[in-house]
Amino acid sequence: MPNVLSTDPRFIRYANCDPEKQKKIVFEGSFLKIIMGSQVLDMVDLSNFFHPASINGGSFKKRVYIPSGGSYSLYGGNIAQDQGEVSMIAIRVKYDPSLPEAEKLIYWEYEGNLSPCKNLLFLTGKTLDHVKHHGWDLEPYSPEASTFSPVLSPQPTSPDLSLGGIVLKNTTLKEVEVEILVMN
Amino acid sequence: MATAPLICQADLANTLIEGGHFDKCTLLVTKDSTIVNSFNFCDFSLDIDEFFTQNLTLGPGSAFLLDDGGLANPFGEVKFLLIKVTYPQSFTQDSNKYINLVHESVTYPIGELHVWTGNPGDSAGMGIAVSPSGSPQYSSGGIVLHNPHLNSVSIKIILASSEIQGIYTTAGTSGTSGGTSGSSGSSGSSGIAINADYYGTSVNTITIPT
Repeated sequence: MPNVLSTDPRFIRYANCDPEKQKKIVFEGSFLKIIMGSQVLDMVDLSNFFHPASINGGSFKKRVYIPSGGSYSLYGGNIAQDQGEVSMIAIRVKYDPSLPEAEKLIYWEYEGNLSPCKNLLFLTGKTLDHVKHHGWDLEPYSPEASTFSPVLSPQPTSPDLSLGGIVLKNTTLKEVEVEILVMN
Repeated sequence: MATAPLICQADLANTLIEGGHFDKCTLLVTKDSTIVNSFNFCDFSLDIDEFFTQNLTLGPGSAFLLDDGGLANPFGEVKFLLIKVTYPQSFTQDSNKYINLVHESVTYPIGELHVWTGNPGDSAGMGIAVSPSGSPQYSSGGIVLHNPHLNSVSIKIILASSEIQGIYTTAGTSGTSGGTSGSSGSSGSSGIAINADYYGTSVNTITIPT
């Protein structure tokens, strides 16, 4: 009898693909909802969300295309406060439809930490005009080095971890479209 | 259309009427009544499996170790994390409307809203690490929310797992086994728990040493 290898059925994982059973997170109206079919399981009311801009700040929006294996450095430009902080960052990622679902993932690196981003990243904080406060540091040449986790995997590849800014890394095999809104 | 709320006098020193707010599923940045920028979330969709929501009040100076609700995969990771913070009227200065999120030894700010997404998979690092791995400093995962202020804040948390978790089953049966999704404070998954490094307890408030 030939020695044929087969998958042990105990280790096969099955997903419930019935659309009526599939749970999704979506935006509907001013709500972020968790739905299952036509059923709303939970929701977050965003109608009362208001993020004020700093007096010397503003906002910018950009759409960038990051090639496979490439990266994009996000900086605060002239809307950041004096030390380079901004108070809000929203990022959406769109993938080539041919990519398998499991591979639709990019990474963002900030202050030495590498984190995943599937299709949405929304960050907020608070800034003051002339002193570093509690914003997101998008200053490319910040002299204030931040501490970071000593054990990182995979290792970040920033040339200098004391720099601010967010680096978006496309580790997929296809170009990704990234839409970014920065506000301060 | 949502309208920008009135900003109290104390905040005017640092802010104008320019700001971002949601008009249905679009985030509009407006200055007075002019739309300066817009950011569309209307086609956003994220498939999930089980989820866990929690509302809590975080007292002055308190810290809270986020509970993974039993949703994390074997690497202690989830697919979606949302944290929405509501500040009471006692927060008169807009610049004070922040809390801290400590993750992998880095402290991040949260103003009003924080959303992370990942895609937990066959290797570590693809999802959002929420389960503390045993390190008292949470250097390998785990999320701590810390309120540095003298007043309490209200927080809503949503955690969701990937559509295919590491739940092992025999051929011909569903990979998930139900559970009471969405009920506050309870796990959304009642499948076979294989996340061995689950330490979180949603009812415990811990204090970060300063």
